[in-house]
Amino acid sequence: MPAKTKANDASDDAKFLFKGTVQKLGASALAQVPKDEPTAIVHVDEILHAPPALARTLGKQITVKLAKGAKPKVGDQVLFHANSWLFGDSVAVESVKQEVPAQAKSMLGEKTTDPARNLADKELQKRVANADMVIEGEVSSIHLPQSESLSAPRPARPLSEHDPKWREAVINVGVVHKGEATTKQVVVRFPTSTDIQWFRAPKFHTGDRGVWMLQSQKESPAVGTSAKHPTAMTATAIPGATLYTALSPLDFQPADKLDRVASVIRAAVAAKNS
Amino acid sequence: MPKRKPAKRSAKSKNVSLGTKRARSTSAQRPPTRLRTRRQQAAAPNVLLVNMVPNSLSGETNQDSEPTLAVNPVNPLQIAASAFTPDPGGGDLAPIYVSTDGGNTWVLNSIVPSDSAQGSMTADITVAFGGSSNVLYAGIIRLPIVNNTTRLNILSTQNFLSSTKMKVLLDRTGVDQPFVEASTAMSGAESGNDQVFVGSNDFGASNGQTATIDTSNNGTKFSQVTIESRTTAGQDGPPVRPAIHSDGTVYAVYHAWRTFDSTSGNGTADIVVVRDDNWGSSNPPFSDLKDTDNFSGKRVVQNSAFNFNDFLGQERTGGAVSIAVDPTNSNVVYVSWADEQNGVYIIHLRQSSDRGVTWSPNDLIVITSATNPALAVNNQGTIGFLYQQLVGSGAQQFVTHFQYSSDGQNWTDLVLANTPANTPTKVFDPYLGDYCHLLSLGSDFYGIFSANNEPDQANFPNGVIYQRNHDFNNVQLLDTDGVTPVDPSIDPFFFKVSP
Repeated sequence: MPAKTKANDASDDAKFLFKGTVQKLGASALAQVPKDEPTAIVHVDEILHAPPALARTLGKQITVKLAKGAKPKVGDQVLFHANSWLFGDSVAVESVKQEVPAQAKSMLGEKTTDPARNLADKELQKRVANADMVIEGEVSSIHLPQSESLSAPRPARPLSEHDPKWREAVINVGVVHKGEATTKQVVVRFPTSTDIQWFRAPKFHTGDRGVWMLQSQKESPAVGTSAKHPTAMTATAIPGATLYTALSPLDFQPADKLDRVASVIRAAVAAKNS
Repeated sequence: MPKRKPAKRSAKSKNVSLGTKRARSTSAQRPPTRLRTRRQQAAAPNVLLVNMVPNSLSGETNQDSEPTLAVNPVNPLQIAASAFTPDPGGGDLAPIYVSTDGGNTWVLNSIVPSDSAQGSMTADITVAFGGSSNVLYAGIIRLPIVNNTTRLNILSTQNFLSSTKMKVLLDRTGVDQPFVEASTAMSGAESGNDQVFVGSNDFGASNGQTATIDTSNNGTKFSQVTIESRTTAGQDGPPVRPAIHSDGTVYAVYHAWRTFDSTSGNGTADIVVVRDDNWGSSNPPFSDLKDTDNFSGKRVVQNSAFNFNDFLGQERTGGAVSIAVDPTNSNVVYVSWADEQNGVYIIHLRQSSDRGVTWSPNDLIVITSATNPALAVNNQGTIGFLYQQLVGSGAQQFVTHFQYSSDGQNWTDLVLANTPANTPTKVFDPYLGDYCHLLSLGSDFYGIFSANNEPDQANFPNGVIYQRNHDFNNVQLLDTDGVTPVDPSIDPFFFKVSP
């Protein structure tokens, strides 16, 4: 299978959306950029969305690997849909799509002036769109799944430093924003491990309140069944209940931060339902 | 933005007691926890130590732990490294560290398959260059996981500065802690082909014999080899480390679990060395070294105690191993491992001069309260030994030592870093890494470790270079604006020692 490049990513997924003015073609502001790459030095004029590390490039000259077929001229202002490439003394990014800036104006109109927040909101919208259920509720209890108990058949799962140490949270549902509207309780399996593989996943405690973006077992390969572990995914807390996960840090928004994200979640749910 | 200061060895650093002393130890008489010292006779070694975080990431506070290193034998100016560093761009590819000037400066290049929703990083990663191919290989635990288990990928790239994603050579689930080593056969049937060996703990192996090596004689297709031959405690431990000699001898050491109590985390393990005399192609592979019980694999030590749930400061422990073969003589091989004695984590070092058949009955070195042993032998037959020791009480320090010796008796001890162990607070496990890494090329040693990044020159008695913005005078990291203070975190440090 041929190697896939980041250039195959859809521009919708580009993490760095900015307006820049081309300063020099066939040049690089970073010594480590390979000479045979189609690059340009670009002044970053305005950033629409970006991760924090790239949001710091506003007003600076960076290196852009141009999208295939793009032929901007020196002095052109271009809207770049880009992803990160090299971070050294300065930054090089890889453009996956280039547009005339006029198309950016409507995009700017509905965004905040904080490019990192804009990207975070976009990522949250994606989590909402991809969730099987979006609920508001409160954790009523935490349980040890049968597969994790000492009485489980040995070896239920070989021991590794990456062991997730699963637990189950029962959530009393207050509002269903997406999914089966009559749902009163759901069971969410979550890792308590602090290992590199799991530390980002939200950890739940009795009394936690907020909004969950939930993936069902079917859609969550992280905890899917396998030939080796055929019984690993039977819900213990409520036998027979559908088991969900919320493994991305974005998948749980605590109640005390809902002011900040409520409008984003509502808009994403509405867009999905329309 | 403040001007970055070049590395400078202070007069103070030259007087630091552990900076350039030579230690002598004999296996029979030496006390186990201290080294007898004498004045060093040889010239001081040349030491380069670099904080690897690039200037454009001066504001980062990641826990960049568990580093490994690869030096291109064809061009030693080309060096790659790995750590638990997320893609600063938040994309679906995790980064590697790249240097094209011998380790003096570094950039991050995100080319490793990952997942933005899972933090744009890997759950394990190691790197190695082929011997003469310029190809960089990586063994990773890829995120997100699937089917409730870990996912091994073995990867390669012909150009480690390209933006092209690394090619997936192998994709298998249920595998832990891949550790890649590579070389290129210079003669025989495999001449010109990369020889790649990836040690791992494969939970899919039969009978709980999980210690595994994936071997490739062309850098493309891999064969899975179970190197455990005895009854286990249901599985082996995570670390499986290969070591390659250019004559086709390939050794590996692993932590062979013999007993294990999942409630307490207590267990016992044999430290087992296997050998293959033909690039991993013997029949069966890795069966060329037998023990007295006629099973493959020499038990260097039996019933070594460990606790899988224990910690050394904020650093998790549970059994570490390392191995190195002398490039001048494949008969000579060194092994280091960690065990727990009366609640104290201890690392040991032993040598074999007859291809692993017999081993020095006593340790060449014993270091208490230490972890992350890493070994390499240079082309002078000098053994290098990297480790991290927890010292003090209360405000403890992690002291990163690099020791080397031409005879296994007289050791030169360099303190590379003496940094706070209590700060920053751990974000995830492992704090510094389940391993650090050492290798040699020619007479030089190259290594990498992770440590607290406070820009305090007193913490680095052999000097240090920072790429990220810093103020040595006020012991303060600074953001990309050169003004905003940045909190200390864990960074990877590259070093090169020319004895």
